[in-house]
Amino acid sequence: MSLLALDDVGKNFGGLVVVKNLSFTVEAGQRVALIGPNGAGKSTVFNLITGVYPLTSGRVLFDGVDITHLPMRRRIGLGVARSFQNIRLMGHLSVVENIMLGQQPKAGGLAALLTPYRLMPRHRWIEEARAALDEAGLGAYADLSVDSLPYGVRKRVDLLRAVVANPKMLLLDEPAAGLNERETEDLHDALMAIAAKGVTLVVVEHDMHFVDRLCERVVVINFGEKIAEGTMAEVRASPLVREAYLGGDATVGAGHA
Amino acid sequence: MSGYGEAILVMLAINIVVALAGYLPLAAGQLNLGIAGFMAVGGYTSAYLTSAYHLPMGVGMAAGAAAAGLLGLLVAVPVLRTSGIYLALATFALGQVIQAAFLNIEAVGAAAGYPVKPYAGFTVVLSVAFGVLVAVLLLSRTRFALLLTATKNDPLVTELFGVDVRAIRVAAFSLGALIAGIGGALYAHHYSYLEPQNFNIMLSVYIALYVLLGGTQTVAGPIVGAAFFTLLPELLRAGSHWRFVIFAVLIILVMAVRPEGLITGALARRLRFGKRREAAS
Ligand SMILES: Nc1ncnc2c1ncn2[C@@H]1O[C@H](COP(=O)(O)OP(=O)(O)OP(=O)(O)O)[C@@H](O)[C@H]1O
Ligand SMILES: [Mg+2]
Repeated sequence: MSLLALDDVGKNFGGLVVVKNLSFTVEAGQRVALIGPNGAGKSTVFNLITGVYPLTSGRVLFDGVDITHLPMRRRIGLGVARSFQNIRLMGHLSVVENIMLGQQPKAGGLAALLTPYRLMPRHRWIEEARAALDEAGLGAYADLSVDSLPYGVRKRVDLLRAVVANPKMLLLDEPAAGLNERETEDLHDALMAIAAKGVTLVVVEHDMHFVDRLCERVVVINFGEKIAEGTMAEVRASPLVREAYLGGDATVGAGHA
Repeated sequence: MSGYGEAILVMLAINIVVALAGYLPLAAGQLNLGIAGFMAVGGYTSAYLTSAYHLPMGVGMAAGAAAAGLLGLLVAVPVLRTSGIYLALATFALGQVIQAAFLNIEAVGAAAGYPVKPYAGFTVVLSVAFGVLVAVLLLSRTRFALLLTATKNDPLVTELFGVDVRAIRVAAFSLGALIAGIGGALYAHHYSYLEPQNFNIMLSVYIALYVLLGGTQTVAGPIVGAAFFTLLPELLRAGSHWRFVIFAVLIILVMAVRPEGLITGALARRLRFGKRREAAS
């Protein structure tokens, strides 16, 4: 049984068809890329999987459960976490507190909500959040407000916040966008380490070299429809893919990698 | 202490309580422009129960707080369907409706007003206000407070991390209403007379200003805001009849220079950091 299965999924915004007859599966432990030209509907697919938008048609199954109509707040409990194309950290919270939001799904009920942890020396939550930051090499930023951080660091905090939630599957929307070479390299290593712990990765990314190195399988969509699927080499060979990217800004067909 | 000093402190204490009432929903990003209405519910409930049923003042105040909180809970669900300017309008209207209702309830004197029996003196008012302040400070050290800020920052992402954002908003709104009820009860028993006009829209606007001017990111914000609004007019009193103009200009200046309020989270963090660094060196 696949970890994630999209079954004939469709999404319209008013009269605009953004996702159409889309089916694909992701096996547990896999690293899969979802690629396509600008406006192909990749972010929308993430929004459908996480419940940000309701589906127009079709079903989404996760871990054997039909989550098509599940409220979005219940999905992280099943193991679905994501990052956003435009980093969405909480600007009024410090870095540690942002990480603590990632702990929320496993933080417990009302008693946990009303525990004045900030008055308790070395409370487990803070210690765990700091340890996670230290492990990611972000310890020095722990007490700063996120707005003061450089872009690359914000992206790492954003990723860590999702990882701290202990997801089974991570949906990453353009994790390498805006990063320099060094940072992209570090991101690759970080994601490989996360995957090594058994986390399934689904990555939307325009950097084809990055995708090629990270992902075992690629799903290509254009105008919301799947046009190819397979290894990077297979996908590159597809005439449909070459056509979709012709004149586009990304360069799968041209073999930019 | 002089009678004047005590009077100012009582005013400050009540203003801090109602500022905290406005702060809780604002911490989750929601402006309640009907705080005066919830104060009225708390004040009249306590006054009525203590006069008509001779209940002790403490019981009356608790009942007043509960009544205001319950009303908050009941209206939160429909009212919080709206947001932004519409939420402000809805709560504004709610405050007006409550005031109009008390203008027509004969049992509590309607337009003629209602004398309130048990008197809450300086010590009682300050103790209760202190209790409220401690409770809110405790709350501000919890995960609930973290989620309030997260909800204000980005409700969608907060929801994606498993939080029932609507429940958080309803809780903040109702808790704020409950605290407003306490503020209203203190007002009633200290000034010993209630009139619906006491709880007009200007009061709600002022309370919102306390919080917005002080800052919505930390508990210090509403306290500083309430102090600013309570003490500054007194300090300016010696000046002249220009004091309201000076006061208004000061408000505009503060909002222009610090649009997020006098006290921001970043400022609080910097102050804390400074302390830590001093301690380390
Ligand atoms: N909430 C919305 N309402 C209306 N149209 C939308 C909405 N969200 C996305 N769209 C449209 O759906 C299409 C796909 O958008 P989407 O953001 O999913 O593309 P994408 O593949 O992620 O593109 P990019 O690579 O630029 O991020 C676009 O035409 C976009 O304008
Ligand atoms: Mg996108």
